[in-house]
Amino acid sequence: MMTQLEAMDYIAIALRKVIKKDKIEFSLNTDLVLEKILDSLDRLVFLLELSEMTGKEFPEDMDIVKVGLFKVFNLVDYLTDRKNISDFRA
Amino acid sequence: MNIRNVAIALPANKIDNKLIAEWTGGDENFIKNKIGIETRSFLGANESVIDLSRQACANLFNNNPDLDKDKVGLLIVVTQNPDYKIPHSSAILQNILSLSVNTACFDINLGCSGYVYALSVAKAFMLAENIKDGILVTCDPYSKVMGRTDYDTVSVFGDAATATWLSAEQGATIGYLDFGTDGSGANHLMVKAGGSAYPITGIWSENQNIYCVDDFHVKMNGRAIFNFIMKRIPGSVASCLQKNGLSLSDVDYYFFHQASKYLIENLRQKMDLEEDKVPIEMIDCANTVSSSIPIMLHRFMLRAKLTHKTVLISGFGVGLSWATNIIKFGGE
Repeated sequence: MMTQLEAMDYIAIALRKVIKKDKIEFSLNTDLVLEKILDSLDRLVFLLELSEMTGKEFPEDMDIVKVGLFKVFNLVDYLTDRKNISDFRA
Repeated sequence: MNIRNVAIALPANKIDNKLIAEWTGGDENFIKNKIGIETRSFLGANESVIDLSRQACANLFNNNPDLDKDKVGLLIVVTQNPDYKIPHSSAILQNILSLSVNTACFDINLGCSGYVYALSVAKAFMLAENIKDGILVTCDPYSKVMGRTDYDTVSVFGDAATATWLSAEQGATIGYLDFGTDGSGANHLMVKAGGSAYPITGIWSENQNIYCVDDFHVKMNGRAIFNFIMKRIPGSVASCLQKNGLSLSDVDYYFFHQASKYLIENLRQKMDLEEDKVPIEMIDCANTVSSSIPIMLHRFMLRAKLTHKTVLISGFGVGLSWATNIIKFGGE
């Protein structure tokens, strides 16, 4: 099972790939959309990269912004299996 | 079977990003800088597929005096937004263009992969029936099915028509096709109403099948389409190269369907292709569905950039469907 630290590392790698900056500051409290770190197109690449690295699926019929998965603490919970994708649908 | 020449037609009605921003609340700089579009053309209220296709064909005939109308044996129209449900657009166009009654005419119902598919269909038909000259038309005006407040579609798509002269005698050769379909994603790019599942007559039926106007508008799940393209197209390119006995470095240009600048740049990076081999040609016309690849061919032929060049063309989208082929240009 992935640890919280590993999940944060994966998020950092995916962000670096999308934003193309060496250093990106974020924490568990960061909202990647509200804080304008990812625009609507960058989100597509970010989710694809994260999915390919971790094997975790982000269902294509799900509005990822609406369910709060761009909030880092939610994303970490999902990547570390503390929450299932169905928890976010609800 | 060869591509002899390509002509295009864009509607006069230009729509800039300022207007798109007014309609949708979107950011006009974002549309220009990230989606890669400054302006696009929409058909006028009284203009149709046939009107724009006729214009593209007129341009083709005007630019190619040696293309004899009487000798055209095949006319294909690629569209998913025809003027009428019945009959097929190519029959109407055959009459308007005064082509021979011996011309084989049929439509192909495909979206962004349509041109690449249709080249192979035309090639096979012309070889089988010993036809020397054919015309392949593309025209899919999404402006007719887009809700003006739907940012995901109205910021991206534009209208255009193209006409390609296919000739048995000379021109750029059409190679072996790689193709595929994943119908599990069919709902990701869809106009729900207007077919037999949700017929137009249902609007007026009492107590049944009353659907909203929005069902007549194209809906796109951008993330699903993006994922599909990023996952499928690199494999299709590799498979096409293998079928044609080529490697990545043998290709001078990669003409990908112009879905968006952002998507093409990501695809290029994923495939580790050189930037100058992957042109982006949509800033003045947007994503024109099945017309985007022939528009690139037309413009690069005009600039005399395709002499002795090998070009990979790849179309992908509605279906979900994809098709990739190799076009080899000689010294003409």
